[in-house]
Amino acid sequence: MSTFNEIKDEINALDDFDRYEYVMDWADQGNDLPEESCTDKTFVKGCTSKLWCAIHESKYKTRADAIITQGLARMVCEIFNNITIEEASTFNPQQMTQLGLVFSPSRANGLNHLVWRMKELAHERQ
Amino acid sequence: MYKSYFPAYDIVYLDNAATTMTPVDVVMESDYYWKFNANIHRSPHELGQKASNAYEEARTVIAEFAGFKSNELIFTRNTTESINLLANALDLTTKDIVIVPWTEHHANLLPWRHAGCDIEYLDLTDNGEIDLKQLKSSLDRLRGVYHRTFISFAHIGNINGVVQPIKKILTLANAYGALVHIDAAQSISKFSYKHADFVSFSGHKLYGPTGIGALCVKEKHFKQLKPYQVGGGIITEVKKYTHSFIDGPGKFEAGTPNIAGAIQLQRACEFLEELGRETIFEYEINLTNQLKHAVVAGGGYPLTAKGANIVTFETKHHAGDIATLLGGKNVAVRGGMLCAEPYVKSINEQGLVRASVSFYNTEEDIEAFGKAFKEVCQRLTK
Repeated sequence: MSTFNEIKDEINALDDFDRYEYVMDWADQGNDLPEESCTDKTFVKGCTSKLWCAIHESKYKTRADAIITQGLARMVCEIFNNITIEEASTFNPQQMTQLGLVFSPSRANGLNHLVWRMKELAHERQ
Repeated sequence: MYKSYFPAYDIVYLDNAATTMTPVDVVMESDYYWKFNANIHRSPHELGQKASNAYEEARTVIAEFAGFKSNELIFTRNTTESINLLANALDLTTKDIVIVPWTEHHANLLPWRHAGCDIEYLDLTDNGEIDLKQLKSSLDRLRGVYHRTFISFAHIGNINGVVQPIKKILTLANAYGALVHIDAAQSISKFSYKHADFVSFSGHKLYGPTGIGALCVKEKHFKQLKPYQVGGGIITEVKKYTHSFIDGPGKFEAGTPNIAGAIQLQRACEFLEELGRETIFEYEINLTNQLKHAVVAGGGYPLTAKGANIVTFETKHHAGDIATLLGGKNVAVRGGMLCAEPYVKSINEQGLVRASVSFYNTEEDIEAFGKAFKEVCQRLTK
């Protein structure tokens, strides 16, 4: 179980490429959102790769076709699966920049959209 | 051996098709702000005169660099604005047709779609060149059907890097009375265009600053163009209900232009002329061949066998992952749709990776790319 601050501290303790290795280690856990749940409704727009996100069996789950996206998505799921609905609704997507990872604008945009989708899902659960 | 000219160069920069580095000569060119910071073509004082003279001198140097006369160059912000300007200023209707490869950069597709003219798409042959048989067939079929026919293409494609057979295309166009626009964003540092009707390019891909570019128009075609944007600096007279415009390129430069940028771009052109455009292009082609070998050695599949200074390739992995992880190893490339979504998606739905060299790159850069590329592919295969 990891919180945003724990993940942030772990990443910031790493140098350069090790930070990307860290993200890929999260990706190594694989996609956990079943393929049948990947629909237009669960598709996250604005990302450089294909990404789906939904609540499945009471957990935030994702599926992506790129490794880095998959790793980031798993990290974000971990963060949101371990906070309250109230905390999710006040989570500022800008916080993700504190992770110190450099992305293309479209990937950064996709990450932003993912966090907003998580917040929407949290709101729907209320 | 040229790296010392470029102060921002401290990584393996292979994203030159997106933007080239800026040499010290251009960065340090600040006469405008130090010596004659004033508006142009309006001010009766000495500073204004000096600024106007410097701006017009920049126009002359850059126009000659592009193969045009000084009264044939309109300053714009970049290639995209140049093509938008042209597409709008031509006042196109469905009585006009633009023939364009569907594989072009969005900047050479969308302005034509947006302009309201008819469009005929061209295919590329297997070697990445415009299909000349198809072009001829289109010109035959469309002859007499349209009021005006235009052919628009990138001389060097931003995806495949192929140098298009420009002489053959110009000859064909001439035979059919079609006018030719060349998107020279990727090629202006290497070629000039004495025989084209219209040419667009950006300063930031020409070792100059951002925010300055040009549309070159053969003098005889100016009468076809209507002002694109209107306002100060482009009129001879404004009455309560009527107004009249000046002639020449200034007619298309409403408002205060990027004076400092124009002068910096002039320095960039002079810098390249001093180095020798042919010499540096030869060097780039050799380095590009080495880059292609490094791509193949790492398990990549280059798009085309030929290519000026651009190697775009697929791998077994997601293009975004390759580009991001190479970036993590201080190797700058691009990955994704590369502003040519129809073309890129026709090859790989997940996008492509593009590495592009410039004359300041070295064999060591290519070796560093090759090593990083292998490591990234191995990690993604894990």
